[in-house]
Amino acid sequence: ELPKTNLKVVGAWGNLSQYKNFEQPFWSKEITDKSKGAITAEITPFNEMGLKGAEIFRLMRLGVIDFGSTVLGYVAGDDARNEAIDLAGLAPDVATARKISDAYKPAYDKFYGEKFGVKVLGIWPYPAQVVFCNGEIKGLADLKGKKVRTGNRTLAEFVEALGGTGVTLAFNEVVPALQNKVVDCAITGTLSGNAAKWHEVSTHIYELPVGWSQVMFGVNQRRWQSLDPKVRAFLEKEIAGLEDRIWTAAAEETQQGFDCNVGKDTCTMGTKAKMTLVPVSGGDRELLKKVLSETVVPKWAARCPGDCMPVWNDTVGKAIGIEAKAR
Amino acid sequence: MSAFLDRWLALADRLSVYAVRIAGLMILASAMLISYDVLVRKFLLITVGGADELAGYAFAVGTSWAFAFTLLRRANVRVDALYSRLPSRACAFLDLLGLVCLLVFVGYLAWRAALVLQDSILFSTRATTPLATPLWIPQSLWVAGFSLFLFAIVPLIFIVAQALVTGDDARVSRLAGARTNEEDAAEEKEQAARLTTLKTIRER
Amino acid sequence: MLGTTLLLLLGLLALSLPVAAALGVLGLLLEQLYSSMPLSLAMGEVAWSASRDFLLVSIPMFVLLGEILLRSGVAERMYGAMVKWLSWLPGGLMHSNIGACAVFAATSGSSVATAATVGTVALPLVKRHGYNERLFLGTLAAGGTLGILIPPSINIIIYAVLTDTSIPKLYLAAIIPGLTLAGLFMALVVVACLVRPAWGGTPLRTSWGERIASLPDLLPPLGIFLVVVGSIYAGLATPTEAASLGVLAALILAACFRRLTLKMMIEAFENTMRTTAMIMLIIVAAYFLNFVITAIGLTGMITNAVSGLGLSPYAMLVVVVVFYLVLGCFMETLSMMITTIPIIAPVMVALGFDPIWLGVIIVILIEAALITPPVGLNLYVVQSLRAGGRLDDVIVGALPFVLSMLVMILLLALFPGLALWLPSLFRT
Ligand code: NA
Ligand code: NA
Repeated sequence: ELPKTNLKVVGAWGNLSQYKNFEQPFWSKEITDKSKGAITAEITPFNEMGLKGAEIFRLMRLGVIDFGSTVLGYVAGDDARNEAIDLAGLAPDVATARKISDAYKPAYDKFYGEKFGVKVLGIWPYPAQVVFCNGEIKGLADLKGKKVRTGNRTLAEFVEALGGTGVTLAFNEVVPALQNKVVDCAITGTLSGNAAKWHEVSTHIYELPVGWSQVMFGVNQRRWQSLDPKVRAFLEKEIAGLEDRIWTAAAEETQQGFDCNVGKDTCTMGTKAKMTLVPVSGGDRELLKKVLSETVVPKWAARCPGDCMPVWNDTVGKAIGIEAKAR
Repeated sequence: MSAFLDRWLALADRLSVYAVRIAGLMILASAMLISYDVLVRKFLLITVGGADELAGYAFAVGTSWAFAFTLLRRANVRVDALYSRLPSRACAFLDLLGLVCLLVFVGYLAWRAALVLQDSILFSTRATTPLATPLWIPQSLWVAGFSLFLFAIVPLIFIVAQALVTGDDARVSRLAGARTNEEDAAEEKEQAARLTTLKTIRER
Repeated sequence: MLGTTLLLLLGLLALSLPVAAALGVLGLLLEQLYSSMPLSLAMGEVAWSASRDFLLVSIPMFVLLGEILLRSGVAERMYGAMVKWLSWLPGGLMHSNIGACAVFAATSGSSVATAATVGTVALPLVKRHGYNERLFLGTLAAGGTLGILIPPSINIIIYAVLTDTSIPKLYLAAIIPGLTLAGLFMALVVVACLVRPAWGGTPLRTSWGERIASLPDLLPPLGIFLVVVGSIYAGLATPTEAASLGVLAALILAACFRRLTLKMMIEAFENTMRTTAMIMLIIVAAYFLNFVITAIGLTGMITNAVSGLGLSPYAMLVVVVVFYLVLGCFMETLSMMITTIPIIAPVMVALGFDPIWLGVIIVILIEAALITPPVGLNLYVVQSLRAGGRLDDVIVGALPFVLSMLVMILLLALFPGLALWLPSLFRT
């Protein structure tokens, strides 16, 4: 028997499937059912609170938010460690992304525990970030000379390493910008690009995932300690289950995004469009590895001082067989 | 005491005028920088980048630097549906109450803004953009604007309270009264008229 | 909780506190009353992210653009041209007023500036030509409101930011309704002057030669429109970038007309930043209040309460129209938008209304609020431009145009394509 407990949770983007199909039902229904009514929770997505995502962990540190989640890339400004698991091109498939996230999770728990008083409860991804272009591309090398809208710094560095230009733009300005060739290409999730009608203003979609926009879910440590140990154990177990489900769904949704954008009959979660899927060639995989180890990781390593690099090499580096040095 | 407060307010007034002009210049500079960015992007196919980020900082800083001027020109909007029907004594009380509430709100805001700055220094926070601007730079200028506002509102509240106690409602209204619709409109008119050389339209 | 919040809000506003302070203090009070968490500690973070929103950066750009343009002398030239083209209609110069407002609206983001600028040029002519003064004043007050419907528009930008919708789409959506509404205003004048020919004043005659000769005077406003609106669709710029280009263009115009001086720029700076700071303090307070009411669960409660009413979408639309008409009588328009849209827009969108279409409807309702007494800034602007006379003349003259606005809303409800057709072309 669990004691009566009420929780307040801040979720990630409320307009996306991750919130609507997983976070929201999990907190507002599942945990109550599974705890036989003992645990209740109210969840609100951060964007409905007028927040941008970059302030979530700071607010958890202040105790304004108990349970909260945000995209790690959004808080990269507070510490470069937040980029560690989502460096551009680091995880070319969902299995690798999961391996990397799991390997680095203890490092986040230690860092956030010490600096923010936040306990890490889960890390999960959005569907893969891929490149949409208005105009033909045949592979990575074709990004050369192109203006590409990127969502974060490591993606911008990745595009620049390939000879393109990274452009920052608000998400809802991307459609007119692509249409009018203010930018040639833009990066977002396969399915979110479909939902935002990018397929109407772009022609080619490149199959390689360049990022996963992982979300970290955590709780203020004081609040966590104030909960009954049985409640904590219950929550940890349930959240682990949620984490698994979101990872599985991210793989499915990534594929759905491709299927819908190219107009396959298997498309059920979006609008069927007529884009061209550009496959990843062997040469591209080589190029990716080169850009990753020669530019993306060293540049990041240079802005992540202290024990940051040794820890990364020990965890992520070991998991995927890369050893990084700051340049 | 009263002379000291008057001098203090006059100093705040002068500073607020300098601050608001610099703020305007920052906005103009942002407009020029963004225009330059757009034009070279279109015609020379070069992306300079960062103009939007810098304009965002100029906007935040410029706005906070203009708060004091907005206060001293009584330009903060108030709903005067009831106010405009009240006797001058009641209005004077509401004027002081309005100032105190502004002090409570902006004072609290200024304190929290300073703590945001403190966090950015603590974490050495940088923008997640190619420029990677250290955020303490724009944020300390931003907080400076709030400080100027506080520097202006404190003597204003004392002077208004003094005038209220001595029954000088006219002075309260001059310093802190709600701008009437007529005042707003008259100013729009004055601006439009002063600068318009009316060419008469001939009748046939 | 809902009742208490509403009472507190109305009470604080009725006390005539500065709107920003009222919203901020309300947020602090609600935290004390209903939250177990120290929500107000978030105020600094909320303020910082709102204060450097790149879309909001266009607000000072548009205000500065207007301030420079106002001082450049383009308005009277443009009005002269509109007189030559439109004054043959029954109602004469009153059509020039509406036409000039529509043209000036295409360069200005604000209604008050539009009414003030066109009114200054037009009002000296009312007595000379024997018009019905009330109707003449009405065309200026109402015509001025077109300033926020025909793009560019500060109010559309604020709607876009509050609802996370696309500014380019909203601009496109507002063009046909803006021109249609100008047409409805003109139709109202024609009907009035056909029923009462005496209201129409002495007719003016203009030759085609004069009309052609006046065309160059329309070039400066057209140029500004092309820069601040056209550049978005030509693929040159995003909305904020377009506003910046507009500032540059206005500076060049002012220099060409030899009006660009240091003194003029300093005045423009002071006015621009005073207006911007006023708007932003309210926006910051409203963001904080929104954070608090979402965190204490009030927003969800309101949404549930409204959906619990079980109204059909169109019944709900009628409720929203009446709500804005009533509130618009008493509240300043900017504060009204910022306090109501975050709650009303999600409810309406959940009922199936298109957020772009809804934006056009709300902007038209804001236009109505600008000319309904007792709080209607355009009424006061026009009144202040007169040599004398009673405010009632302006109020009575402007009221029929509120009907035109309601007709426009009805048209949009019957034919949503009026708003949605242009954006749909743009997307594919
Ligand atoms: Na306009
Ligand atoms: Na009104």
